[in-house]
Amino acid sequence: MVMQGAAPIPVTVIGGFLGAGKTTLVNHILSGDHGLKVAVLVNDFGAVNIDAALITATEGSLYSLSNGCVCCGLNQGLVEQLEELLASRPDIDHVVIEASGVADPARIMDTVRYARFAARLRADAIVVMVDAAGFDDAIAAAPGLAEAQIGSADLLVLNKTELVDRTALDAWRAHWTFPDTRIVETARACVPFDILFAGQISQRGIASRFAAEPVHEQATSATWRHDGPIDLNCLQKVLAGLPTAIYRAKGFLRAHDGRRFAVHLVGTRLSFEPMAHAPEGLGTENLLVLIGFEKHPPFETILAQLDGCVEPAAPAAKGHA
Amino acid sequence: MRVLYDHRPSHSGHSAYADLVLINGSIYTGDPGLPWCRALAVARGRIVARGDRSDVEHLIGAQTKVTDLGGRFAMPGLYDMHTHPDLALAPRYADDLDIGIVDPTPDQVRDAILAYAAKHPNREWIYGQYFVRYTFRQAGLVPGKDWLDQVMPDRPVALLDRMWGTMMVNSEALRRAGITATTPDPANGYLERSPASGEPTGLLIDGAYALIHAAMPPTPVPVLRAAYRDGVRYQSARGVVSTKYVHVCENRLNALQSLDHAGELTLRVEAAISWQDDIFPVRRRWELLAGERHYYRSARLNANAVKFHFDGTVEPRSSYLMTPWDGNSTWSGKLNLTPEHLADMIWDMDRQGIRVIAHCTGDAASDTFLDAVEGARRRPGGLCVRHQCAHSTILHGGNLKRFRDLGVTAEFSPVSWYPSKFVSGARSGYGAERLSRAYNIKGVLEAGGVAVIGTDWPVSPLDPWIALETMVTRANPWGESEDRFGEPIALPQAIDVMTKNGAWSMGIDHEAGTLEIGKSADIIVLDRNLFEIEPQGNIHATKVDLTFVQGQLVHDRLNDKSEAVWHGEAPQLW
Ligand SMILES: [Zn+2]
Repeated sequence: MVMQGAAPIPVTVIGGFLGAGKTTLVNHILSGDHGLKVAVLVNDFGAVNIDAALITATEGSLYSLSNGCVCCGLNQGLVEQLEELLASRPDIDHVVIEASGVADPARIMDTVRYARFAARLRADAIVVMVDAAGFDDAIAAAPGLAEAQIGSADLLVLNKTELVDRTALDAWRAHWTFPDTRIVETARACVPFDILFAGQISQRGIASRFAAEPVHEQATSATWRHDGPIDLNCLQKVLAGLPTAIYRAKGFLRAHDGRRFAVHLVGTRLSFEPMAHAPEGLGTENLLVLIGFEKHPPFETILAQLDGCVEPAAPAAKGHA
Repeated sequence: MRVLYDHRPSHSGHSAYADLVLINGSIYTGDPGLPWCRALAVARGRIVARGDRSDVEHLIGAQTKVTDLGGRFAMPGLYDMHTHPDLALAPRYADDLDIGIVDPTPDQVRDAILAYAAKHPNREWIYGQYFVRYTFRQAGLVPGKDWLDQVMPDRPVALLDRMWGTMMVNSEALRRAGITATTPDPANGYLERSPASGEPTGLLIDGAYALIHAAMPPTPVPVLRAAYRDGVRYQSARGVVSTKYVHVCENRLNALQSLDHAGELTLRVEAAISWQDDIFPVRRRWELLAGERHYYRSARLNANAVKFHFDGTVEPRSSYLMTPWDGNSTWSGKLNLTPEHLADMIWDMDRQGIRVIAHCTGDAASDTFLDAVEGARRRPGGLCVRHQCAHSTILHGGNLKRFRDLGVTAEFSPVSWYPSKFVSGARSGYGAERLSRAYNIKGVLEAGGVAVIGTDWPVSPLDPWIALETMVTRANPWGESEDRFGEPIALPQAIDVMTKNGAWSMGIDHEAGTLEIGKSADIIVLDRNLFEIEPQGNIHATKVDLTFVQGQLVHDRLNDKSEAVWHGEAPQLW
């Protein structure tokens, strides 16, 4: 059971080949205006271009930045480094781990999910960067590895789109898009923070974040509220089968047996995190925010499917936001 | 049974003649009293005369086998004091499912499982490799028990993924392993679970494999026997006369004993029982240590040793070091066992005459190990067994003389650290200061200690000649890297490390390791004189024409009509 006020810290693993733009994304996060204290563990500290003026403190291997982020090089066993980070900076909101170019990022997330980190860390998403201009070279350089990286991605970032034309991008998509793939196309690795960090709610920011407007202009969202108890298996099916226009879902719910969960869906990764009791200020038993990144995600259909997961025995007031 | 036929009671009469005489050789004995000779005579497995032809002529009788070496170089046979042929070779004989497609689609995985099941109707488990996640995603499928149950509902199936990080099992496999929603995750892995119900999905990560392996039948003796047979045949063809198989269980000992009885254990084997279950389970560990090990004892085989992993390795930075891995962190690695555990265990093993072989890569690991041996030496009842510090990758300068003082063997793995692009990159993690004192064979020898080598196959190749060359050159044998790590030692010293020091570390230095009168006739005849060639690029390519163990010709490279057990070139194993 999770203790109130100590929700697990979400962890994002950034994977992808050397040169796909992982370090650019890391710099984007470290210098970004997302209002979060993000701890970034990087492979090569020297490659990160932190402006020395932004460094407010250095503590051991940990550099604190003026926007609240911290950064450190991956210089010991991942398990030990995460332990050290959790001990020295319990206040951080989100952990980002940059995988090496030759790593299968799934293996890194596997470590995050070891039992020792249960209730302390939560696997949020594996984000895999792909160099739209150099992917064929990556496949040729290490057959199997590039496919493994794509296969383990919860979200794919097709980066350096400015270097190739639309036909090439569409051809790439046609070949590498799986039925459940969510792809974000970027130039210079500018992934919207809504996609990277929107799961950042649980007990930390609570309901206030639900009201916040998406910072990225492309994002659209819908909110589902209901007071009836939920059939978890039904909900799991609906969420696992969401159209790929939906990139994230987050919220809270109460099962018919009284247990409460925080729900996180990022791309293809779904987790239900047990909670002791409902967060204050929700005003409803079940609440789910769906975030899409295409023009017209079929929100109405999804909300109707969610209604269908309410146990019929407990009719209750419902309403769509 | 060879081992029983060969023995002769001490009062039985024997011939006045030699069984074997080698003449016309350029024989390096390893004995400072007489480093070189041209002829040797052997009776009942031991050297009975040496010198020139005139010194052995009177021992040649009608039954004596006389071998003219034609001027070739001969020397004592080699000692590989840490290796694991079973780990590399057993999977080749296990006949597990191998789909054999680079990127198998789910349909191809299904077809392969069904074909394997039909071909092996009596196999309890369907176990093998591999599936890839992305082809499942391509097909819009989720790997796990739901998919696998549709393929094979009634027989247990376990299939690894290509990266060996995930195992997919069906419901029957979960049932046999007793895995349910309430099964806790192991410390070093987890069960993938349905978010809603907590039910295992049939995907197991890392350390969770052990739950399935524990439910599967152990590797069968015939598979292990075939694996060891290939390893032994290779080692004999490369001139190894004594070895330590570091990590064994009851099945492995049964396999080795079966080879021994068949006359195919053509070198001495000291087998070290695993102290931990991290590589494979040892079901009879305590019975073996308490005395069951004696049932395996013969002139060629003993199991009077245990092996454990005391710290980790360089790549995940889990070696246990005196100072932090780098200046930016307090992390200096860690021990897998408490020093108290170690102290009591070494003392207890020492009292039973069991050698403790401790995997220690970091300088703090070997330091703690030496402390524990020192403690055991002060407690009553010890037998002063020559314990062994395995790998000894980084040693503290202050500990070099303790190997001599405490009678502990410093074992090194030169085959895994000769300079190459890969090794230079991986080892740079130690940092410049530590790298400058890594692999310090010379330091141990100069301090009067005993250093030996192990090939540590499959970590590095089983070929001991790579070790001999690189100890002398500290260079890449194929010229693929300019780097040189550490201090070279002279050829005679390197030969000592791989012959008489090995015998010392097995406790048989009084009867083996050099070519002296009264000692075991463990002799190898080579295609080149090691003292007359440029070491770099040449020593590792040495071919062994003949290998004698206890006077028995076990390997003959050139004459396939001879009575040797093995003939021809060493088999290609990797
Ligand atoms: Zn080993």
